[in-house]
Amino acid sequence: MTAPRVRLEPPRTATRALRGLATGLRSPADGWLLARMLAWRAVLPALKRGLPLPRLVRLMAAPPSGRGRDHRREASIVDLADRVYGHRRAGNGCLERSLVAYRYLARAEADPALVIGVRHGEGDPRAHAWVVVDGDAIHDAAASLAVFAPVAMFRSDGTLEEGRDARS
Amino acid sequence: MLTLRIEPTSRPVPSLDAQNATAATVWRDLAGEVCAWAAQRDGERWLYIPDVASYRLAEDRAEIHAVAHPSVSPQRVRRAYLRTVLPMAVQAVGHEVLHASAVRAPAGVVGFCAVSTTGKSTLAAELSRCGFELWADDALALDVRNDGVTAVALPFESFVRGPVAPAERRASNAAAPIAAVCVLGREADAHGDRWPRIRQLSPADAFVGLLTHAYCYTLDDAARKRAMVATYLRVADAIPVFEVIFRPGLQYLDETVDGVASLLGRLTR
Repeated sequence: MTAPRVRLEPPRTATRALRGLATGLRSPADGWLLARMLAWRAVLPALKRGLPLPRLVRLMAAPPSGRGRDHRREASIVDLADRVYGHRRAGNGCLERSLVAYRYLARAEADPALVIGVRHGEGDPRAHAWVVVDGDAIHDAAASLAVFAPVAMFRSDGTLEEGRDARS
Repeated sequence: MLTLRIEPTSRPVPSLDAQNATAATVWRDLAGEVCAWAAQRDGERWLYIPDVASYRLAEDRAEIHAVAHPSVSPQRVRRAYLRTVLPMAVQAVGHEVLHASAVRAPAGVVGFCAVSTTGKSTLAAELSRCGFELWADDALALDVRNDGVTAVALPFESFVRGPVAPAERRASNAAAPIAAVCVLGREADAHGDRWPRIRQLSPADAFVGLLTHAYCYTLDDAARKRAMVATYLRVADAIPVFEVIFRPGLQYLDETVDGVASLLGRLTR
């Protein structure tokens, strides 16, 4: 009697998804960054369940690497975070995507801010989270953010902003 | 808390023209029409309900003075006050207020947040017929202290016709601990047989969920906005917040009420 054959390779759909994510990676460093973002994607839901938002943001606020800013690296971070979360739009995993991008942009010394906004008036989605670097949202067009009023902004060190307008 | 005083003279409600629009906070309904707007005039806070009345929050913050639009009945002025003006004014003077109906369960008050026309008033009214005291119909005021989150009673009129629980006569300023908040949503394309779908939100999602249903007089006051954010962060951490997704339609009302009533019975202090 033979034991049933066990399929050891990952399912084709998962393989295809991983191949899609890895397409166009520009360097081994991008591959390593992608792997770490995927790991965060796996654990963030559990962390979100257990931690209040301010603690979660402080946890994600990585200390600066000390290597100075690198705009090419920042572009890779923005692109990979978008790929890992499947180009999520407002109200659909935007907080997790923003947290992951925020972490690696803080590490890359881009001084990101994590913003949470609520919609003016009625309509869906009711709220959105996004990351701002040098005054510009990294994943969203300015026009798409115009319907949201920023209510909370976390600095790159994880502290809640007090006083400055969260819009910029 | 606050009391309404209707002035003996009437005056048309000013329109939201270009001059007013620059300094105003504006609220629009689902169709995009202006349903209310607020502005500071001569250092005083005014809130305007088009074609109904202009409301002024008195400096001592104890009274709201209403100047009715010509030919509008005092009942209509009072209804708009209870539904729109009072929650905004209570938020402006320091409490947080959720756009929510609420009932009182054995474990405490449970709020039901949702956008307009989702069915929160209907759900609360149905629960009141099952024996849960109706606590609020459209605005749930919160008081957050070191020993927990408390619901502060505001006067209200139920928007659902028919008999509801007897507690509408409950004294204003009564308070009770809040046991939970439910964020309601409808799923039109509903498959499966387990409805309503109920899950407890993470503190981060709870914070965002609460914030999206918060009354806010203005976001231009940075200090007040900071206090509001700090309060909702505490609330999201202190009490359970559930997402309740149900099937729309009166034919599914019983299953929704049963599911929520079961949740209310499982809550503990």
